Amino acid sequence: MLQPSSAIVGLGLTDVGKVHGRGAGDFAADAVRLAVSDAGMSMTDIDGLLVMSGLAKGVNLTLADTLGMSDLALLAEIKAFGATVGAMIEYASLAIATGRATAIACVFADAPLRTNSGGGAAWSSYTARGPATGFASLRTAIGFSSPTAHYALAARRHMSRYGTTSEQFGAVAVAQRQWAQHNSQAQFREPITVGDHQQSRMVSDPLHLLDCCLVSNGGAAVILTSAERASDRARPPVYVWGWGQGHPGYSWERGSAFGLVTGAVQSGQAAMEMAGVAPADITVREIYDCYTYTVLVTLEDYGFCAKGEGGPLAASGALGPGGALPTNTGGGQLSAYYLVGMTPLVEAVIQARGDGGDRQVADNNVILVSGNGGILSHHTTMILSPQSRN
Amino acid sequence: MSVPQVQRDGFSAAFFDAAGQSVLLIKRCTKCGTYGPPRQTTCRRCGAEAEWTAASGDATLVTWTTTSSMTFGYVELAEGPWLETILVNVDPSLLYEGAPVRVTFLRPPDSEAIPAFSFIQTGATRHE
Repeated sequence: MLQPSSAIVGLGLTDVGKVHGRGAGDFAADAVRLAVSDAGMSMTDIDGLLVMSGLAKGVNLTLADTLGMSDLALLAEIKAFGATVGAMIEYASLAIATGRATAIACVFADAPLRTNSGGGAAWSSYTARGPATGFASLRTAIGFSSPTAHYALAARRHMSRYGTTSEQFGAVAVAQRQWAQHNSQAQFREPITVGDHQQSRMVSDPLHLLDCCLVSNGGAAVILTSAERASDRARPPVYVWGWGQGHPGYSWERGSAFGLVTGAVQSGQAAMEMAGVAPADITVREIYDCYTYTVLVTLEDYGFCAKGEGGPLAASGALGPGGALPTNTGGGQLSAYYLVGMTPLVEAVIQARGDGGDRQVADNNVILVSGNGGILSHHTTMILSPQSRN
Repeated sequence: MSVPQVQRDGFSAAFFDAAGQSVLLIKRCTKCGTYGPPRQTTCRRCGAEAEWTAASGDATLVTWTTTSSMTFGYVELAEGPWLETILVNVDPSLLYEGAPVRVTFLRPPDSEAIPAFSFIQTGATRHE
């Protein structure tokens, strides 16, 4: 198997959250400029660019022109929904390993929030579809229109099968808010209790408002280069030890694993095998957390606990500050900001560099980062470390 | 509970004709006999053409969610496929995985008939 030989040497994160007056393209350009500067490089050093756009669109291949990039050896828009960032890191690492490119920028930005509306309204305005006919109109008529409803169906199945409770979902939200208190870029930093979670508005039973991720404006970018070139950069390199993908292709019939098992099983095994690590070796987890339930089921599928034990694991306090399994140490998409797979990746780079401040985890040697897209349809995993594998 | 209007198109016409007659149509492979959901065009197992066939209407509840306006989810038809559906005449607090349900048909004004599912016996209790 190809040995991973890439490293993240630059990180760019714009202001995130309720940042108005700028489009997604602006955020994307700023994020790349910040990441290039952070890497101690100039724009002419970059010979590859991978972009991902969000709800508001506006991030595309013209970003290369905006940034004055010429003669790029690699340029593409990547789309695997919430699993995109892990895919970007994989494809960039492959291009570096084969020598096709030497320094690749990967960027995501979005600006769905407007000044006069909340996050839910912003999301709906982009996802609402016009009048449909046939089976599409039937689907809408019977409620199957929002991601939250679909994740509620997955979460309910997990509850029915394994006895998982809403309070255990709440424990995930509480732990991540505890982490977010120490993240100055988190949109929500006020402590919450499981009681607050229980009393928050029911969106789609069993999911309350505090089970759901935020909606954010902003952009984030990373610069990848070869492990050899990474060692003399301005900031500590973050080495890529392994990656994986899993796209379960659920059957919608008797025996389907929907809600019970996700693509994290396949993706996690591939990434950990490539990295030469087991779940017990992972010291920090940055898990894609579109919903609290997603964190629980992903932790199970990666093998951090037995299947069905994600709820008790969260309720034990293991995921929060001081816990045995530090997870989503910046507050995640639930409390910090929602920049799809960049939310967990940015925090992984911060932790790997030791830049976490009051939230820095003592043992940052092996960091797992996940991505999850569609309705548990697409999964990616990255294993990162401040240590070179060689 | 108010249900938005559903309008047929060419692809779904047979399905809604049957729904109007209180018959639930699903698909069945012309070659291997595997059942599939109404929207399926070819068999997921062997790739052969799928044709309409009447389902028994018996199902069990897989999972469900309740929003401000309705309760809906997946039921597993006796033939095997899952169906996205509304649950009607049910108390959400009495629902459980595996609960036996049966098809019924809603007939909103200015809309095609809509298949829905409810408990076979009203007032069903949780089986522990």
